[in-house]
Amino acid sequence: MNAIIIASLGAIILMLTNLFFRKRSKLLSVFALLVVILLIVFNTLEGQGLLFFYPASLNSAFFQFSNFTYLFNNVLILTFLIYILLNKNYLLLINPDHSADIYALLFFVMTGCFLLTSYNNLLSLFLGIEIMTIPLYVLAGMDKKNQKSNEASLKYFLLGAFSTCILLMGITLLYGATGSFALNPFNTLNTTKLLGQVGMLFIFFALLFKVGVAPFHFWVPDVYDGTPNVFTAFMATIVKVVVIIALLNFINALTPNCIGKSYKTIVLFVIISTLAIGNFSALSQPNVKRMMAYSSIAQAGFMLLALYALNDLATQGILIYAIVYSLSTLTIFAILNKFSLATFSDFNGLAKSQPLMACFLTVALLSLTGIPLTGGFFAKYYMLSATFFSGGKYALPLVIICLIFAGISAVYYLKVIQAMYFTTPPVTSDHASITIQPLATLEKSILLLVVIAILFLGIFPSIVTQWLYF
Amino acid sequence: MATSLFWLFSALAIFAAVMVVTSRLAIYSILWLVVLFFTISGHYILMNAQFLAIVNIIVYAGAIMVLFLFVVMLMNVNDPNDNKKSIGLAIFGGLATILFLLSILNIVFNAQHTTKEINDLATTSTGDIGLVQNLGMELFKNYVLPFEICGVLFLSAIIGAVTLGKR
Repeated sequence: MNAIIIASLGAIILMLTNLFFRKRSKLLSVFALLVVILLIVFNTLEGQGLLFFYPASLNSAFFQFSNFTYLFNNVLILTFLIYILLNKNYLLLINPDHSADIYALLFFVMTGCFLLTSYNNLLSLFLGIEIMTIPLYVLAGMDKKNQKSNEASLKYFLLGAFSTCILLMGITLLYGATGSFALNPFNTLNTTKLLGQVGMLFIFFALLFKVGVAPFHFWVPDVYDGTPNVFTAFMATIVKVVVIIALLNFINALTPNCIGKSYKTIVLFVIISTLAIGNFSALSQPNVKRMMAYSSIAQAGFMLLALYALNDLATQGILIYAIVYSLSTLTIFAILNKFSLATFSDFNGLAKSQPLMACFLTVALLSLTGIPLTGGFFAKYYMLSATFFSGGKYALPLVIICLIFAGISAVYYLKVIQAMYFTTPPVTSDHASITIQPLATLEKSILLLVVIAILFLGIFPSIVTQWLYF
Repeated sequence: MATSLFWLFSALAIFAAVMVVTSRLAIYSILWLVVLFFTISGHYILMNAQFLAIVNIIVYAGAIMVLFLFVVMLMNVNDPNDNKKSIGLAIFGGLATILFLLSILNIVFNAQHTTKEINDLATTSTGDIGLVQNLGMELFKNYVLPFEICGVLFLSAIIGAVTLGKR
């Protein structure tokens, strides 16, 4: 509750700072960082039982806070902190007249994220989804002079509105079956009626739409490609991960038998088609940003394994996966910020001209592939072993299929590494030096910390998961 | 009386909805949509939810539809030849729609057969939750937290609209 309130208050105050700060004022990002630190402090304190805002007795009807919620909120806030530190100059540049509004919208998205990690009621689920996505539609179109950004914004808005319609329809049907918005097993246990089952499926599909996985993935590449880089980084990490957690909350609250026997079959189909489409499409993309869009679809497929397994190991796995995936993707996007176009040939010989940048990028890409000694290995390991131990006759084939697709993903991730280390830069080397800006000192140090964190998680993943049990 | 009104409004609503989709001119679609909103407000009144009925008319038929009309008039999208769809799209769209309709009908009829209290599914002129007083009590007592969060949602939407609208 603290996090929700502080984030929305922070957004409102940041909106008002337009009055006091000059354009492109550095103070703005300092102020935003201050709010983020407040968020961490207050969220951690609430985890220790110190509530500052307590809406008496209303709390449990709409929100439910568990250890996992606080831990995951902290993960989100830390990711957001790193995001701001890496992108703060670009956030000021993208639309100088509205930099305060951009920060306000980002904090509103965070408010929606905190609602989604803790909702206990279909009403709060709907509000969370809306608060999270409406600012994103605007952020996608923030680069107003760019045609592609406008297109991305409109596309995202129309498809987002469409999937929200499906979500609402599902909520209505579920309400019709149970007569309540509450999401506890007592309420939904007797929902064996077709009405309730179809309602749940609608909500499930609408949330899958928001994540952007296989049968509902068509908007992802265009939107991610058209959106300004800084906001793609935000959408591909924090937002994507949060919606998966929201899905997990939803399924956990229902006790999956409510949806029916077909639940596991549906999830199986979604996971396999997501992995297939994400990985095969990523193979043939002309530039790295678009490749990252498809790779994020494929990675979401791995995260959905938690929905298939639904056990403790999967909870630990999704936590590690969320952290490692977010850190790696943020690193890659922070480096993509430095390129004007980022086709594969732009990376030729990067190891010679920008050795540190190439090194960071390599670790991030290897982590996304799932190479041992990077966090990505344990992320995938946890998800796959959770799937394996969940039992059922499809568990083993699913694990094998996932491993095959993880192998395929190595092809396009290593393509970038190959370009950086084993290709000589183009003959007109001054061309390359013009388009690639060097990393600033702050970015260097933050990226160094992030890369160390990724490597550290590859050796001691329990450093994160142990927090679940204290 | 109430039952016959219910059927009248329902038939009118379905007719208007079909007309919205099939009208060639965007202006006609919008006007049929206004008719649709009025019939739905009629349903609300039958369910003793006057407040909802009035708000539905003021907000949807009043504000949003006027906005739509202005946009259509300003953008001049009146040429009926503009919206020719490809045949493939029409076939697949129609197929998907029919499948969706069939499954929804299946759900509705199943719900009717399995529940004895079918009358509870569509009661007319009973219940008082929709009256302004009760709605207010409910909204500010049990639902005050989501109500406040709605405020955050609208604020974010306003900031977004201003940000996009300003040059």
